[in-house]
Amino acid sequence: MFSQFPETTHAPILVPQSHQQSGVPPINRLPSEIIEYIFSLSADEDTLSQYRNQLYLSWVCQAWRRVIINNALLWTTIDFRGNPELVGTVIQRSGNAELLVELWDETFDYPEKLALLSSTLISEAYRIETIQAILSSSSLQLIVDDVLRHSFPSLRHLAFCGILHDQIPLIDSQMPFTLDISNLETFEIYDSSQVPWDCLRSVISKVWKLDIRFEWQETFLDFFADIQSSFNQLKVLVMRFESTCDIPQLYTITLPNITTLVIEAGCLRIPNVRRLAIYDEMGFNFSFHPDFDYNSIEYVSVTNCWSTSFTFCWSTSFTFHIVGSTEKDMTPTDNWEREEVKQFNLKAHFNQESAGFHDSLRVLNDLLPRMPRVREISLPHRFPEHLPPVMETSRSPSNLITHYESLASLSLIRSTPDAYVFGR
Amino acid sequence: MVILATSDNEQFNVDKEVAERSVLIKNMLEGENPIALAVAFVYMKLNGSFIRHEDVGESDQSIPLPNITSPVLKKVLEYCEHHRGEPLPSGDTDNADDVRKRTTDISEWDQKFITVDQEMLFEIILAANYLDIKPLLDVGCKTVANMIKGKTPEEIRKLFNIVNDFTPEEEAQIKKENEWAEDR
Repeated sequence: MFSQFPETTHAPILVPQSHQQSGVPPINRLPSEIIEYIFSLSADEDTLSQYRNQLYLSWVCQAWRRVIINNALLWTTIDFRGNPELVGTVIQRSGNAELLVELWDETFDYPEKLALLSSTLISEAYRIETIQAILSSSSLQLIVDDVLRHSFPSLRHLAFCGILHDQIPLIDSQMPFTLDISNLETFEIYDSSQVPWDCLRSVISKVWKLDIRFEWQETFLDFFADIQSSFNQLKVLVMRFESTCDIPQLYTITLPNITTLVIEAGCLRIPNVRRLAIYDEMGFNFSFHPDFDYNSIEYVSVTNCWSTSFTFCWSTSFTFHIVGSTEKDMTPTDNWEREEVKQFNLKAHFNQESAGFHDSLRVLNDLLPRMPRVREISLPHRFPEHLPPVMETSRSPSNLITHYESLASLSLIRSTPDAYVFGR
Repeated sequence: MVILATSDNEQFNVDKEVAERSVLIKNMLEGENPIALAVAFVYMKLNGSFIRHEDVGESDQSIPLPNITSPVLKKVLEYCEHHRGEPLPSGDTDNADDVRKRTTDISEWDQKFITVDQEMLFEIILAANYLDIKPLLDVGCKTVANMIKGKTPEEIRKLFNIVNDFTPEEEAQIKKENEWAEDR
């Protein structure tokens, strides 16, 4: 929260709290950090509209003006479509904060604005963190030599996200990618066909996140065939499909270092896939379960802890399978979305010494406290009869339903305030 | 059950699960917020009762909320009750870089819930901030943000009963500075 103890830090923007009832408008009793937060929430998607909003907010009263002018983070987007004076004001109010620069085609139609754009990009290059280029290749060509050969040491995010009206590739083979991308972290390209794959390969080999749109399924398949070997650093891959794509093609893809895979598509045969996040440190072959409920999926997150296969299902409630082996460490990784799991199925291969079974319990005991929504667990094993199964969990047995194929008589044998012990 | 005591000396018996929608209360119950415990201690001492550290998590001792009146707490608890059982937001969900992408969408139930007069709206925001109930704070702040969006300075002043306290000279300067916005 903004301030843990309002009696000490809830400084209202106009008057002390003791004067709260003396005609001060209720909104100005809010602490300035909440007012700031409200202002940030009122931000408009369109930067020019946002400029207008903020200028208007700074015109309401002295207190609001102080809040908005002194909050540099509200002024960090530079859009050169505004008039030069406004751009100057925005840059001044942004202080030394890192900048997001938007490049729009229409800016390039005005020599005055283009000159301002070029000089600003150069003078502020040291703190430009993000460039979003919504422009054609002909516009881009105008600043390649003068601007884009400069060093942008803070540049971490680069996006070419405009709708390209000309059919000329945004960056052609005669126009090598000249930006200093030594610190680039993410790269977004609206249309993969607009950038030669040579350029893409050099970018992809550096970034950890790639957001790419495919016009055609064939492009996507070719892309993988050609680019896959360059996925050195890539951890997050976002793929957006414009046309029909047969998702089974994904079945066979191996993405050795990808920790998050996001798919956005309007026309996939899986109609509503919005996001898949797959965490795995050791490599995986993922596949969709035949019963996978594609229609309702909004978000799936699965961590594969040394598993060879898993099954996952629907949005806020999905079944999680671990298929492990006693030959491998089944310790789960920490970075997965435990909140989503409602059902938990665990299957371990075990040997005569029952190591697999104890591994199962260990994994379960480790995971359960981290999965607060789990109401049902399943251990579909047939455990050797001689084993004395004991499962310890900090979860109350009343909100857990347990299924054991061969352990039907399993019951709570001991409980303490901190742990419940099951056995038979 | 947890007993919450408001500034106007009303007490509310609340399910622990509901009360723990508040991170402040959750931490107090878990003994992880020594400063809050100290505040509660002083408050209860001043009111003639005594609170022991181990009592905070027990059902027969009340947790004082000296900044919140009973009508406001009633509304806050209505929200917490409705959203009982939902996953609590993790601390790192609020990415400062995503200011531009913040949405002001509010669910239908939340919209009805937050349809209150301005006095209550801002009290709810303050209470949500104090109690550390991020989703409720968001609902309140989004509501105010939606009220502000697209309005001129004069409309905003009228809406919130704010006095224009700029001098004529300042006003003229700001008007000049904002010419571009007015032309759009």
